[in-house]
Amino acid sequence: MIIKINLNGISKELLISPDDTLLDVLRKTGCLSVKKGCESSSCGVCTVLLDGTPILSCSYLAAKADGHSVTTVEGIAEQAREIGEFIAAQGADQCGFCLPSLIISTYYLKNTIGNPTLKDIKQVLQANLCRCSGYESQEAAVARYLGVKI
Amino acid sequence: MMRIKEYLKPENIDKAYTVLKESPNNEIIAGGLFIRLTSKDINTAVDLSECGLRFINEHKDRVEVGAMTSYLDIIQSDCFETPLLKTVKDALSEIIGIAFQNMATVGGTIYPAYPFSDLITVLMPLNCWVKLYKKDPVRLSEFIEKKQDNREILEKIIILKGSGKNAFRSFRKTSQDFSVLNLSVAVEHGDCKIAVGARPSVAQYAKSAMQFISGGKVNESIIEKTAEIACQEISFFSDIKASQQYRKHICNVLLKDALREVFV
Repeated sequence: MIIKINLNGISKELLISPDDTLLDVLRKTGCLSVKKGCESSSCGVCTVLLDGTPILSCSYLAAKADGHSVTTVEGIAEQAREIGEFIAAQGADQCGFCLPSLIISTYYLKNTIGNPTLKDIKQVLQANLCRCSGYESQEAAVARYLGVKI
Repeated sequence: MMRIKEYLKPENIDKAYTVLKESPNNEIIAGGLFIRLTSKDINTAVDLSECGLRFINEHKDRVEVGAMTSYLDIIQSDCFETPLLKTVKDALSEIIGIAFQNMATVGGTIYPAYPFSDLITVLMPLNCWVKLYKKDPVRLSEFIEKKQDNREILEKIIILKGSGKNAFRSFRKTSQDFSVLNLSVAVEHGDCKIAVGARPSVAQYAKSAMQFISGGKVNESIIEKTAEIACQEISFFSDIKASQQYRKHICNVLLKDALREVFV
């Protein structure tokens, strides 16, 4: 089947199978920032924005995304670099595998929620699992980036 | 992983219903969170996204919530700011994270009667009704108790407004996990309802405990006795998350805590 999505600001027609996940389709189109982790809606590394709001692309059928806009780190490259470098400079990143999803979540907090509170940050980041850097350092780094007192 | 031959987004519920009834291998797709956790061959997946079932409508005496409404829609809705409904919002806010909440839907949780569901447990003691397409509304508790997979479509739930108090409690090992046990209490005009879920089976009423505590004056000893009765009558089971005994103990502690919140 053919779906039409707006991927990172560009209209795309994609030929997919009805049971393809959005994660697999995005990676096939070259959006390799979207990572495969648990593939069971638990770890958050496959997080992308659908119409501006986070979803887990591992558990989202690509067919369902037909007619919607999808944003990955590739589509917000400049701001993603700024967020990623800030987080790294704060010592809150180690292997980098979960960083794209953390960037997407931070981007959402900044651009959609606007003036997030520490509670908002905790709520959004609680779905981003990280196996090496720990959570407090990431939470603190994101809060500092967003100008939220911790 | 589900294997799907065809994918359809009907523009209305009537068309979706017709396609669903055409073959036993046609299935409704709501949020889709279970696509990777279910092994099933589906002929036509019927996506309800375009059927106009994503809404929260507030009326004078009730709030109606469409089947495709996400947890995040409820969390962000002003209609869920009354004391009784705020508890629903707070319960959903605890579930995993925002991306998950943005995908999980009311219908996708209630229709399959997922046993671990926090949503079913928090709604059950409220005056909540389930409306299936082409059927009369039934109470949520009745829908859950008599659940049969007759391949219907959940259209909306209807929550009648009330003036009572309620409390929800859940225990999970990490914020990413399903509840090891959850329970909810609501009291209005002395009538108390207690639902216990994730036992690990789906929520059920603690009917004897409800009868014991309803109507009379409630003090600490009544609360303790109520929790004891509830733990005796509710069926708990062991699974990978917790043993039967552990769940029973947790239930006793959480229920007393919830009862104190609504009665003291």
